[in-house]
Amino acid sequence: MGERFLEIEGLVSGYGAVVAVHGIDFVVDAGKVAALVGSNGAGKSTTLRAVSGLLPTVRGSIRFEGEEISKLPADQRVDRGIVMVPEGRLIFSQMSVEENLRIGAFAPRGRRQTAQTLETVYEMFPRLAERRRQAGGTLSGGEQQMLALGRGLMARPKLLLLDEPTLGLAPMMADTIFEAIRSLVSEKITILIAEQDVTRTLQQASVGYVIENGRIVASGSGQDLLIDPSVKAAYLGI
Amino acid sequence: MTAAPTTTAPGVTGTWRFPVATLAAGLFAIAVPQVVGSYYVSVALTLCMWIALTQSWTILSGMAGYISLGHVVFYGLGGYVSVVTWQLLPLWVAIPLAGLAAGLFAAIIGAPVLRVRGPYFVILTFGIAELVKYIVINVEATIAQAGRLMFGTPPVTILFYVMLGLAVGATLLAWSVRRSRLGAGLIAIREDEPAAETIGVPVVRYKTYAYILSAVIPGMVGAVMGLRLTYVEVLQLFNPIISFTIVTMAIIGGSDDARGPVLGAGFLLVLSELLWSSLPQLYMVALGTLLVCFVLFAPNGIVGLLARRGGGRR
Repeated sequence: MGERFLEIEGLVSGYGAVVAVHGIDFVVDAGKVAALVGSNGAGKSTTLRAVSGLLPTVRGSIRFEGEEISKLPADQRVDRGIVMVPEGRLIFSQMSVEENLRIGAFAPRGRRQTAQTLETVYEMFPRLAERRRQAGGTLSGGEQQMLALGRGLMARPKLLLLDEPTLGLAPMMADTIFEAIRSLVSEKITILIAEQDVTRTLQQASVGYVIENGRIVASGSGQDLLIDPSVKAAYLGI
Repeated sequence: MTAAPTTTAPGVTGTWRFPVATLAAGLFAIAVPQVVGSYYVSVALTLCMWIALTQSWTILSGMAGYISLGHVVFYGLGGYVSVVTWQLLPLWVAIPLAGLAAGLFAAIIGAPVLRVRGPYFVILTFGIAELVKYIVINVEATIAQAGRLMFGTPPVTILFYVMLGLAVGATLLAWSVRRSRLGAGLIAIREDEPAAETIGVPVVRYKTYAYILSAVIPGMVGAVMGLRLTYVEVLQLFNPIISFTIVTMAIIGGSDDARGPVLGAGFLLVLSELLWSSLPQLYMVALGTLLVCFVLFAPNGIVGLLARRGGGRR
């Protein structure tokens, strides 16, 4: 076996003294959607934040395109193409939509093609183009999520980490977001997604990992997990 | 009129108007000592001092939103360096050395201090300034110096020229940082620090840079002001009123634009010239009232009011 796109081994991470992820292993292959599912507080967000460098890796390794990155600061990981779209959207509410997007290209890898990427994002989300002069904080929840996603794309990611992208969104908006995720995959962007909408996430994912109490308790293709009786019982309420 | 360079982002007009105007004003001000008496030279010196201090302050506190209420610590350290080295080192060594000392101090305390945010940062910076003040007082006491008499300090005209240079330098520095990648990152930190981190802003490094940049010129300003005194007491050099005045000037002028500190410093200085000598109590009342009014009704200061009226450029 050659190198994997993203390979996590024995990852331990958390907030200071509070360890939320107790040694997990998983891989993500290039151009695919990988899903982390599990209940609130299971360690999904912590895992994403550790991969993006927002939280320290206490133990274990994170290899991206064959290189160890677990000691790199967050900004250097962005520059290698690992971009996180955080939970709760965290857009710059005082800045206009366009300013939000432009600052998304802060990392050197995004800066070179800012204008071009901006056009792509506007094509993907025409709603953002309509509101380009509007302050980010005045957008609806769904539009803010589009903006957060668009801002992440401005850095020209290879690996996009999505933390609860449809949390609290109206069903129609959630559809738009999932549609966007599909089109990103067709553009060869790899996606690692943590979502509470387990059914739809697993339908799109080529591989899924079920996390409980900071450990991976089940894994398999998205379709397999959907019919797995224990997953059904725990997360699908069937 | 200067031609706008072709490389600037769309929507930025009159890009070079501000630095050109700053330099022109600076060159013009060289004539001040030839035109007016020594009293007004010292007023001009004071104006330049406040412009330099407030501009420097905005690099951290305006752009990154980390409000420092202890900026006097850099001024005081710089002043102490120039007082201690007076007649040992020439002016052109002592003043940069004072700036270096202030920058070095910011670099050392930056990492731990910049971990706290909001009101905690405000209180911490204030506390550090007081702490350093008492450390220096104790150092002076152990070497049996209650105060220092200064002999043969440079004439006010020379000090004015140095301070003018610092004011122009600080203004140009604040202007160029705001337009740089560092400035964009700092503004992102101010708007939402966790979000800034996710888009790849090296937050810890940028905050430290901003802290150092905001400290160096106040260090040199303090060095010049130390030489203005004939009898130096440490309490004067680390007077917290200096920190408060910087914040007041930034609020009244507006800290989101390099014109703000110039307007704020000018406005407050004129006010104090008019009121301080005749009605000192009224000055403090007027200052307090103004500050409250600006915070409530014009949070972006005079610059914000002008922009609202003009409806145009920000």
